[in-house]
Amino acid sequence: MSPAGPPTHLRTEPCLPPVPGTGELPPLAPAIEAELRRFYERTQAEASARVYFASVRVLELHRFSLTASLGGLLEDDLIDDRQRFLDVVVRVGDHKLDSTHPMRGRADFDPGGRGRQVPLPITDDPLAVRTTVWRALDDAYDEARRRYLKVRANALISAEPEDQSDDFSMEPPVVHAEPAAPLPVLDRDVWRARLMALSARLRGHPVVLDSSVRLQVRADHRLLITTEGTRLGSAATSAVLSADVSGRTRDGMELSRHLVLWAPTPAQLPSESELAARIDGLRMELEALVAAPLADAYSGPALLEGRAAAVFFHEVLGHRLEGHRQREDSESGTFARRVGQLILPPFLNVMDDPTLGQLQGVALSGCYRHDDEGVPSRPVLLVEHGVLRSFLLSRQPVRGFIRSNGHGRHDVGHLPVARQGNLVVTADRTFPLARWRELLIAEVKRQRKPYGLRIAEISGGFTQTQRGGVEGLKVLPQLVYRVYPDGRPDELVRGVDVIATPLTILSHVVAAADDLAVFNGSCGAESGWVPVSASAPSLLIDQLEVARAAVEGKRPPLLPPPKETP
Amino acid sequence: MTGLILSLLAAMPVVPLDDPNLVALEAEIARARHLQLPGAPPPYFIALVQHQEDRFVATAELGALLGMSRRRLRTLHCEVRVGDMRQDSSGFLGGMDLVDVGIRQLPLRADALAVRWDAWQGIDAAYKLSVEVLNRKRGKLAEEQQVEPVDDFSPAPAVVMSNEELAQPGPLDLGPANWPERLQRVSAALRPSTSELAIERGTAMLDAYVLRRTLVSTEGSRLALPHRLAAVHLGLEVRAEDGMAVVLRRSFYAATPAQLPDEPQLLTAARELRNEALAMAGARLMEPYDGPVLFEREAAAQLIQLLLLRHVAANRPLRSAFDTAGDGGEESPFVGRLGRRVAAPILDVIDDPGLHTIGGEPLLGGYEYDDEGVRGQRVQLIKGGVLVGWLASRRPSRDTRLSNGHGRSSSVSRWPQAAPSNVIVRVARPLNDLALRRRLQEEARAAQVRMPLIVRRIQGQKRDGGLAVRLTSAVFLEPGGQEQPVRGGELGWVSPRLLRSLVAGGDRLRVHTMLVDEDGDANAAGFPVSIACPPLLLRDVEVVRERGPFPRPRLLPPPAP
Repeated sequence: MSPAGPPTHLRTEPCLPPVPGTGELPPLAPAIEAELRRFYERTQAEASARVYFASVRVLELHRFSLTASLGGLLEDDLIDDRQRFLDVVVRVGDHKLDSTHPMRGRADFDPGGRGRQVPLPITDDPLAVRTTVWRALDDAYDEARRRYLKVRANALISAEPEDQSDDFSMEPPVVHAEPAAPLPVLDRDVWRARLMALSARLRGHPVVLDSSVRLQVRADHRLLITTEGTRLGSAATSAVLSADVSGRTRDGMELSRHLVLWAPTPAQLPSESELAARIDGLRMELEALVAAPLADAYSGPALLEGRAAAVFFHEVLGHRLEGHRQREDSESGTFARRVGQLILPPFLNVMDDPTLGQLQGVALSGCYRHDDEGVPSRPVLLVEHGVLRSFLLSRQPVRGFIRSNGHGRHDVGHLPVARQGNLVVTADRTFPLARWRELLIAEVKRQRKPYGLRIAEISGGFTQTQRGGVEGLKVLPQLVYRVYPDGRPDELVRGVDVIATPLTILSHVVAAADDLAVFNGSCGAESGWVPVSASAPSLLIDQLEVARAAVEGKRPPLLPPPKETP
Repeated sequence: MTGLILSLLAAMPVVPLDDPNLVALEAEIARARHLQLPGAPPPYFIALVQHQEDRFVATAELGALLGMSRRRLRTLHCEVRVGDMRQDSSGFLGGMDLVDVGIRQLPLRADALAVRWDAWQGIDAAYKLSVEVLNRKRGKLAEEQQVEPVDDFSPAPAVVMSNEELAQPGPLDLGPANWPERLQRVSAALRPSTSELAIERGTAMLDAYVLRRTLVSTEGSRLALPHRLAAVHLGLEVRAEDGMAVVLRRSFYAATPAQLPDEPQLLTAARELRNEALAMAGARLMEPYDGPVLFEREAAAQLIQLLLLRHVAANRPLRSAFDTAGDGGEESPFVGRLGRRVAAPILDVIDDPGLHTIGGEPLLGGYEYDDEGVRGQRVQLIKGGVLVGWLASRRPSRDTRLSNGHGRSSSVSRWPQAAPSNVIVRVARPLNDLALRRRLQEEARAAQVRMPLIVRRIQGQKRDGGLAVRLTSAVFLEPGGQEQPVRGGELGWVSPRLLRSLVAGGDRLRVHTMLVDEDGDANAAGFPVSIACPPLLLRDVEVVRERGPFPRPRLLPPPAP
């Protein structure tokens, strides 16, 4: 085991310039501001349903995408996809109790003015923009007013809630404009040829029933204007190259392998030769998986390799540290009353740092300067030496935490809630990665198990955080190997899911390696899809339980695959 | 029947093909003859349809561009039937897995191996599902006494086209116009000219596509089913002072964008639509009305579509494992009434997919072969008010045994259903416009109605399991001949029997094209149906006030121009 520094040692590669942006707000900002002001002033006269906060957010997307399969393009749009969406939030009431307040004791699907997605013209005609904003605000006000009446009635008939925090935190307004970020320049013909060549590598392989390679390059511009005075313009570009291969075993199990590579621009994606190698690797992994034996249910020691460990922490811990899960009645609030208590082994630290642009040379997709509520992002130490210190917070306060820490995030059409950005797990003491087999086998022998497990990739998972259900989680590994203590080669197996309960599984992490791997991806939750990253060292777990995965049971194709004709 | 089935599995045509994708599809069809699950029958019919779509859509709102896209897509639809023509795997809802099985996305450029790879998997998936569905269907039908059983599929002659015909139609040509800019200018004509006018939305949209479908089948068919259409849709929403929304739409259709109305014509139409909508928003509210109604302009054709055309398509409802009376669509109220009167004796209706124009106006619902590869035929539907024919696809019904070339499909994921194409409506002893209005006044006097109703646009929508028909543009005709707009009316009783009260019609046909889906409902993603129809005067129509509640008026007036 070797010592490691505190978690803040990771903050060595900021991608965000320290000086605030020097750009100008987009030309449509004055039209939106004028309409928002007109709406706000008018609603102040509504004594029984006064608007105390309203915001208008514009998301402008400019996308270029290509999809190829088996050497040909499936998708090659002649016109770039340009869209603008308007997203308005109207809050009626006051900071203490407003129209977004959770209803107690009953299911409630009323949007109540909490985020609306409305198409907005992509050209800056002031009247067209103002008319759309006028309509959207008025519609949202109707919903907010209706829900506020329900909220007040519900508060009257309900017992005092355990967490009596306000519904909305006070935050200073932010005025900031980042320079525009046009769609990254790329040689489209080169990329067309590249995707066709990459996808052709999957042609004619009988095991690969379906495959695709996709490039999506986008420039996102966001504008947020609030009645509090925030005027925030931000811009970012991204390039995502993804590849999917799937096949089916003779016993009818659908298997797939995915590759997702994220970079701020296409030029920062790996080279064509590296991509070719990665795609060949995917195909070979799929072929090995299809030929692999079915795994059995098992409980025993396991090694989670870095990327798998990162996804594991994102699912098992990260979601449970999101602020709104600590206060809503429907949520189990696993960690709500455990601030200051040990929740992880004492050698582990967890932070979430959206200001972190890169980690060990890898660009992080969960990087942003201001969150979607206009609050400056900042690093948050969530767990220090195993002790819970804080939560991920939006402007929805939680007992003991009255201010946002810049993690209010959402996809267009949803109300922002606390979400992860760049989650980073570090360890105070580590073992050299090269010793993982030795340590795992020692644990296997100590427990007198026939083998241990090495989990190399996890595709994702789902976790039940609500009361009334089973407080459990399932993580979906894609590459699982049996590691035998007698020196036999590792054996790839298929068809298992990791099952666990959060507090138990976290207490079984016994050691961390001295590596650190990054997973970039998208996370879907109640506020929609947001880009995130998770990073972690490889982790040794002394007891991990896996169960057999569901099998569709569809026969493979009856006829052999067609052959290429000269 | 057995001999017929064997002949369906005849050898493919021997004409060499230019299109490597079609060569690939035919090769996979040939291989698929060896497809057989243990203990299950092999397919008796396979059709592969390649859809190549090139579509441009642009929308502008109140003078600004909302978005535009140019989408090119090539998909493969694999249809596999198991059983025989009397009873096969079709017409039975097997569950959610039915929707996408057998549909595959193909590369944009011809690629024989990629196409074979997709056809191989698509046929395989469709065959397995068909075997499963046939067994479920047999299990369900075994529980029931079969009265007058009807075949599931009808024979049709194979059609083989030349390479030149298979290459039709050519690519989408948007013409010289800069459509995004034109649409912005046209939608700007829908803007309010003063802040008092509560125009909420005003859109102009171009939707133009070329769809090239090529079909190959085990029957030996190899044919192209070309479709092209260009449409400009104008839409306007105005909110009246009491909160009621007045929504008006007007569409223009042509085979190509270049044949659409030019910019001055579109601007004029936009201004007219705005004036009409504003007049409607300021109009009085409808009170209950019983009396004569003259349906003119679009409303006449819309009425024929809603009350008649959806019922003369011989579509048997689909069955499912759980139904008792069929939950896969409604049975036409005309079933079993062939040769009996279903409308007023002055009404004649025909459907002719082979017509291209009438009275100089283009008809856009036509085609040479329908989406099942059957040549489109002229069908007399109503003669002297009597039902004399049905629109038929290859799925037989109680009154139809063979297709007459009306199997139509709106998308790759919908099976073809019997549907109209170009519909010609005529009335006996037609009247000119002036005489028709005089007749309307006479009918009003007879019914002791001071001001009869003229309806110019209607909109049908499903509600509470039935059909509601809103009168979106209507006027009362004052005794002096002036018109008084009225809003918020809807038909109090919607039934094909309304057409029995047809007493007169005009002498000028007006063509109205609309997009309709397989269920006979107006649908922007549907196929075009052109209806040439004169104004229709109905004697006894009940109109009620549209059911509320309506939204409250806006807090604020719209932004000032």
